Amino acid sequence: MGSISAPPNIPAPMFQDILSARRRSNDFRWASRPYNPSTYFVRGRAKEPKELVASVLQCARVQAVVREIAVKEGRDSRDVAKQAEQILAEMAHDYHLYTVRWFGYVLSKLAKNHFSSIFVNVQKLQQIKDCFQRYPVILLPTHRSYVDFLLLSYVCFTFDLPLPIIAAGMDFMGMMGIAELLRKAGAFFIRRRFGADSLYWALISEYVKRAVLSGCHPMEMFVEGTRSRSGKSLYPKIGLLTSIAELVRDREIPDVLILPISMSYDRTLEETLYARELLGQPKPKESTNGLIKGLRWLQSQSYGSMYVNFGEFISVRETLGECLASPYVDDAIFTKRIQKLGLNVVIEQQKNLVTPLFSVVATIVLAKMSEGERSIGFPKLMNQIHGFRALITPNGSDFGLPLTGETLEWNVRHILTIHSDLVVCPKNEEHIVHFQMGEDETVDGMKFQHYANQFVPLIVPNALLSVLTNSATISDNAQRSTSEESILKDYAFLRELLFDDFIYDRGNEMLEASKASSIFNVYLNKGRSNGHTSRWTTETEEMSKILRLSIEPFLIAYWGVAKTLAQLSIQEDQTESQIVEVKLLGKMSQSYIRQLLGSHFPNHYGALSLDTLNNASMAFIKLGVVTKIKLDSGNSFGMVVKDSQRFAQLIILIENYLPLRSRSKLNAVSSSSVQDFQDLSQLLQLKAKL
Amino acid sequence: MSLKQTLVSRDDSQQPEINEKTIAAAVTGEESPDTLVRKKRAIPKKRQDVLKWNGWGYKDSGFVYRDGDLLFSGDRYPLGNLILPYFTNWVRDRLGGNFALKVESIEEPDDTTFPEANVTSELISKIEEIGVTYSVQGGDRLFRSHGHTLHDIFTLRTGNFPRIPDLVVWPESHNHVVAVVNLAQTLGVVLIPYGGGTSVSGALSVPENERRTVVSLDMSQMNRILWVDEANLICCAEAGIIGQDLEGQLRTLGFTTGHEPDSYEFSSLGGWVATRASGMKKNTYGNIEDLLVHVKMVTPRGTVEKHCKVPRISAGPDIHHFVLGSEGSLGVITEVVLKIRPLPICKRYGSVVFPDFASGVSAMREVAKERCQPASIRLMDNEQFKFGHSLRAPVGFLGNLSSAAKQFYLTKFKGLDLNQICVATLLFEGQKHEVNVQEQRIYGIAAKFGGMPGGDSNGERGYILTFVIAYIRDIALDYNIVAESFETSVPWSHTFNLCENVKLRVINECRARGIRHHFITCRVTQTYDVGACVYFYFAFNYAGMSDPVRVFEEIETTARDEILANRGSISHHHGIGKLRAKWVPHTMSQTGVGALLHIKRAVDPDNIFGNGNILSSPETMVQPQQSQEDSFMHSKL
Ligand SMILES: Cc1cc2nc3c(=O)[nH]c(=O)nc-3n(C[C@H](O)[C@H](O)[C@H](O)COP(=O)(O)OP(=O)(O)OC[C@H]3O[C@@H](n4cnc5c(N)ncnc54)[C@H](O)[C@@H]3O)c2cc1C
Repeated sequence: MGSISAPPNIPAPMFQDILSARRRSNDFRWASRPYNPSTYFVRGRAKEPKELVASVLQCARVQAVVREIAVKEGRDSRDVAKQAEQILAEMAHDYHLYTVRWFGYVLSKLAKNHFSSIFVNVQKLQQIKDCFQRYPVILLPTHRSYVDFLLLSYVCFTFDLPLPIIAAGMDFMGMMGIAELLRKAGAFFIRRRFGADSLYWALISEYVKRAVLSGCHPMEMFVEGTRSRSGKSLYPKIGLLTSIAELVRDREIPDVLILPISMSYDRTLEETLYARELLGQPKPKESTNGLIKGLRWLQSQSYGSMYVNFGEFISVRETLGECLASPYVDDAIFTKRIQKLGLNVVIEQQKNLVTPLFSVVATIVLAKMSEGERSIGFPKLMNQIHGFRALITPNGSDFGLPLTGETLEWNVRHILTIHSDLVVCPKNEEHIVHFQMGEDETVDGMKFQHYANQFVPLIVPNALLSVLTNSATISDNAQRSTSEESILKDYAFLRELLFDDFIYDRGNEMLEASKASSIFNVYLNKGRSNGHTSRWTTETEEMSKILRLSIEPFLIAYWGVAKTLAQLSIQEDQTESQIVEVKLLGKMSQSYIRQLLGSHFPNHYGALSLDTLNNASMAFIKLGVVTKIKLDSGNSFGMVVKDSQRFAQLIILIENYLPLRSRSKLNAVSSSSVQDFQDLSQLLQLKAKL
Repeated sequence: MSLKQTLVSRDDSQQPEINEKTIAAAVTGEESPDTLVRKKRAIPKKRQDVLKWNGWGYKDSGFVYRDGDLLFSGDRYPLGNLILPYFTNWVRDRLGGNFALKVESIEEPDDTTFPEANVTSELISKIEEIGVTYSVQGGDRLFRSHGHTLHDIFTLRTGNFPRIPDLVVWPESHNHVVAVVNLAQTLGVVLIPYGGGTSVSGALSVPENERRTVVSLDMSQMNRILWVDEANLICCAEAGIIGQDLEGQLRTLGFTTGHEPDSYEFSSLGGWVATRASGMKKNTYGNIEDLLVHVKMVTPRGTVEKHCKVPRISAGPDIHHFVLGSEGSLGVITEVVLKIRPLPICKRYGSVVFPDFASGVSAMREVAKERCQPASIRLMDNEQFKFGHSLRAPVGFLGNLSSAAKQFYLTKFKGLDLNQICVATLLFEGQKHEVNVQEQRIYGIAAKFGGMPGGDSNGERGYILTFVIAYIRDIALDYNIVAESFETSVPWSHTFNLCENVKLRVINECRARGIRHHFITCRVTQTYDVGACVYFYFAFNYAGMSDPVRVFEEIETTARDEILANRGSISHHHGIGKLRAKWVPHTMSQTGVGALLHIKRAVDPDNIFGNGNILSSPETMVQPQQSQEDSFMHSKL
C-alpha cells in the first residue's frame, strides 16, 4: 500500500500553526501588544456604531416603513420610531479593543489547553489584505460550531487583520453577560424568525448596508444561517446576502467581495448536543450557567486541531452580471442570481475544507457498525484510509493531519486518542480498534455520522456509482438496462434528489461521474500492479461496499419520508387538520425508520437524522411531486402529495437502491425503473440546466 | 455675400436681414456690407505656426521643467513665468513623477514624410474653380487628422495615424460650402468638417479603412459676425468663428453670448453646435441648445434650416435637434444665430469650504432645488482641492504664514479634516444688488451643510486655472504620465454614489493592473433641476508599461460602464465620436438608432460625411430584421 500513500507532511506547508507562537511567548504581552490592523475599505468617513445606528434611523427606507406602520396600525409615528430605536439597540454591535484583547488572551489560554494546533492558510493573507483595501468584504465561513466566530476573530487579531463585525443569532441573548461581551467584540444580533415584520427587516437590512459601507470592518455572516449540526453544508440562506447584493444592484458601491472561509475541527465541541438534537431529543437552552458547566467539562477534554482555509474571492458584481446592465433589474432574475451566489459560496467552502482525519475513520466505522460489527483491525483501517485518500487527493482535497511531519499512521493513532469516547485501541491489543457504545447506541451512531458527514460529500460520486452498479447487478429485472448511459441517467437523478444533503455544482453530473470512476480505476490498477491480486480484489470490493454503505442512510431516510407521507395521504381530500406539518412529518418518518433499522435495514443510524429527513421533504417539493401548503398556525407549512401515481413511482425508484433485507415483505408492487420515470428525469435535466 | 444663391427658397424672413447687415458692418467697422473684411484673428490659417503640432494650445505657453522645478512659460495666462515648487512636489509624490527621465516626443514630421495625398487632378481643378483655397501639405493634413484625446496626442508624439485627410480646404462662405459639398457628392469624396480641432471623442479622426479621398473642411476662414440684432438680442455668425474671437468682438459692442466652454479659446461656434457643447456659465446663459435660435446646415441633399428666428415653435419635431450633436456626420453647419446678452455690470468670485464631499453634493443639490444657481458653481473633491492648491507660486514669508494660519484655522478650530474637505467655487454675474442677493442665498444654503465661505481669491483661482490645466497633459506625457478627462450627467439621487463609485472602480482597476501611481478626481461642474454634470480627471504613471494608452482606454471603458451602471449618461457635453459609440444603442434604444439611421439616409445617402461618428459601433450595426438595403447603408456608415 505504501506506493499509494501521499507524502506524510500534511497539512501542506502553506498552513501555519498559530498556536505554536503562543506557546513560545507571553499571552498577556501578546494580547496587549500594539494592534494596527491593515487598511480596510471605508466609504467616506469611518462611522462609529452609534453613528451607523443614527444613519439607519434617518434613512429614507426606514422612515417610510415607520410611517407606513404608523398609518396601518393607527399609531403615532414617534411611537413606531421609538420601537425602531429599541430594535436597533438590541441589534447593534459595539467595538472595544480591550474586549478583543481580553478574548485574545482568554482564547490563547483555552486553545493551548485543549487544542494542539490552529492551522491557518497563510498563503492567502496578502491577497486578503489587498482586497480589504479595494471593496467591502464579507467573510462567509462555514458554521459547525460556536467556536467558528471566536476562531475567525482570533485569526484576524493574530495576523493584524481588521476584525469582523459578526452577524450572530439571537440565541446568545439568553446568556447574560456573554451577549454583551460578544457585542463589544463586534457581534450584532438578529432575531431568528421575524417573518413578515417589515420594520425589523428594513432595520436589519439597512443596518447591514450602512455597516458594510462605512463601518470600517469586514462583515462576517453565516450563509448556512445556523450551525450545521450534521457536519455537512446546509442549503444557503440568502436573506442578508440579498441586502449585500442590493448594495451593488443599487450602485451604492461598485462591488462587494465575498470570501468563503472553510473551518474544520478534528473534534467538534458540540458533538453530543448535535447528536441529541438531530435525534429530536430536547436540547438544553443556551444559558450562561450551561456554558460554564460546559467549560468545566471541557477542562478534561482534548480536541485536536482546528483548520482555517480561505477560498477564492467572489465578486458580487460579476455574479449579478448582465442583470445589472439595465437600471431596472428584474426581481426574479436578481433573486435567482443571489441563490446561485449562495450555492457558489457553499461549494467554494466545501472545496477548501480541510477534511478532519477522523471523518474517514467514522465513515469506515459506520460501515462496520451497520453490519453489526464492533471493532476493526488497525492495519485494515489504515489500508482503507489510504484507499480513500487516493480517491480524494486527485480532486485537490486532503485530510488535515494534526501532527505535521508525522506519518499518516501516527496521525490516525493520535486522532483515535482524541476521540477516545468513541473509539479505543486498548493497550494490550493495539491492533484492534474498538467502537465505544454508550447506553444509547443511536446517539453514538449519530456522533459518528457527524464526522462521516464531513467526508462523505467528497466521495458522493463514487458512492452513488457504487450504489448504482450494485443495484444493477442484483436487480432481478432482466430487462433492466445496465448500459453506461442508463447508469449516468440514474446518477444524475440521485445527485439531484440528494441535492440538499450534498450540495454540488449542478450541470456537470456526467463529467463528475466519469471523473470519479476513472479515479477509482486508477486506484484499482495501482493496487493490481502491486501483485497480491486476490487480496487486492477483496480489498477493493470492501472499498466499494463502504462507499455504498456511506450513502445508504440517506437513501433510507428519503424513502422513509416518502413512505410515511404516502401512507398519510391515502385518504382523499384531506382537511387542513389532517395535513401533516413538515417537522412533524420528519419525526413520524424517524420513528417509522427506527422500527425498520436492524430488521429490514442494516443499522444505519444516520437515517434517523432530522436534518436529512427534512431535506427529503424539500427534495420532494422541488421535484414537484409534493406541494407545500401554508398552515394557519404561524410560519410552518404542511405537505400534500400532488401526484400520487408519480409519487408511488418515485418510492419504488428509491427502493431499487435500498439495502432491503426482505424486499417482498415491504411491498408487493412490481419493481420499476428510471425508464418509467423518464418524465421526472427530464424535468431534472431541465432543472440542472437552469 | 449673397443669400439668394443658397438652395433653400426664401420667404419674407429675408427682409430684415438687410438691416441686420448694416449692423454687421458696424460690428466689423467695415464700410461696404457686401465685402466684410476679416478682423485680426487669434488663430491663423496655418495653425501650426501658433499652435503646438503635438500638444495643447499655444506654442509659447506650457509647463516646462527647469532647474529642479516646474514653471509655466509665456505670459498669456495668469500663471505665466511662475515657478511652481508645490506643483513639482505634487507630481513627484502623487504621481511618482521622475523628472530625470524625460520621454521626448518625435520631431515634427517633415512635409515629405507623409503618405501621398489621394487626390485626383479633377478634384483639384474643380476646387480651384470654386475658388476655395486648399493644401495637400503633410503638416496641414496631419494637424486636421485628430482632436485632443489622449490617444490622439500620444500617437502624435510617438508615431503615425493610420489615415489622415488627403486634402484641406478653407471655404470662406456658406456658398463655398454649398459648392464643395456638391462637388464632393459628384466625385464621391468624403468631407470632414473641422472647427477648432478640440474634439475629445475621436470625432475628427479619419476612419481607418476609408478608401475614398478624404477632405478636411477647415471652417476657420468662416469667422465673421454677420450681424447683430439688438432689438431681439441675437447675433448671426459664421460657424468657423472661435470662442475668443466671437466674445472679443461682441464685448466691444457691450454684449456677450455667455457661452464659455473650457476650450473656448480654440473651439468654434460650429463645433459647439455639432457637439452640443456646454459652457461654464450655462446657469445664466444656457447651454448651446438654449442659445441657438437658428442654424444652417449644408447637406448633400441641400441646406437644412428653419424659415424664421422665433423664440419657440410648435412645428413637429424640431429639426434643430438633429443638427445639434450631429458631430459632422450629416452636413456642414455654416451660419448660426445665437442669443446675446448685455455684458454684466458686476462679476464676483467666491468659494465655499465643505467638511466633506458628501455635504458638498448635498448643498449643490439644495442650490439646484432652490434654483438659485449663480452663473457658475463647481464642487471639487478633496483630491482636486489639493491638486489645485499645489498650483500656486511661493509667496513671501508673510504670505506663507497666513496660509499656514488659515490651515490651522480650518483644521483645528472648525474641526475639519484636510483629507476630507472639498471646495465649491462660485462665479456671480449680474446687477450688483442681484449678485448680493445671490451670494447671500448661496452662503446661507452652504452653511446648512457645514460649508463656510472660503474667500473670493480661492474662487477666482479656480476659474483662472481652468485654461491652464489643459496644458498639464503635455508635460505629464514628457514624464511617463498619461492623463485624460471624461464626464457624464447623472440624476441627483445617484450623483454622490456615482462620483465615489467611479473613482473607486478606477483605483481598483489600476491596482489590479499593478499601476502604483494613479490619480482620479472629480468635480460637479453643472447643476440642473434633475441632476448634475460630473467631470473626472484620471492620470497614471506608466513607467515600465508597453502600451499605456490601451491600458488607459481599458480602464476608461470600465469607468464608463460603471457610470452607466450608476444611472449616468454616455456624455454630458463631450459627445460620442467614435470613442463612446459602443454605448449608443444602450443609450437611445435600437428603435432610436434606427430613426437616426434614417435621417442620415435622408440627408446623406452616399455617406459623404463619412467620419463614422455616433453610429459607428458594431453594436449599432447589429439589427435583427434588416433589409438588404439597410445592410448596404450600414456598411457605409
Ligand atoms: C481642454 C478642453 C476643454 C474642453 N471643455 C469643454 C467644455 O467646457 N464644454 C464643452 O462642451 N466641450 C468642451 N470640450 C470639448 C470640445 O471643445 C467641444 O466638443 C467643442 O464643441 C468642439 O468644437 P471644435 O470647434 O473644436 O470642433 P472640432 O473638434 O473641430 O469638431 C468636433 C466635431 O464637430 C464637427 N464639426 C466641427 N465644426 C463643424 C461644422 N461647422 N459643421 C458641422 N460639423 C462640425 C466635427 O466634424 C467633429 O465631428 C473641451 C475640449 C478640450 C480639449
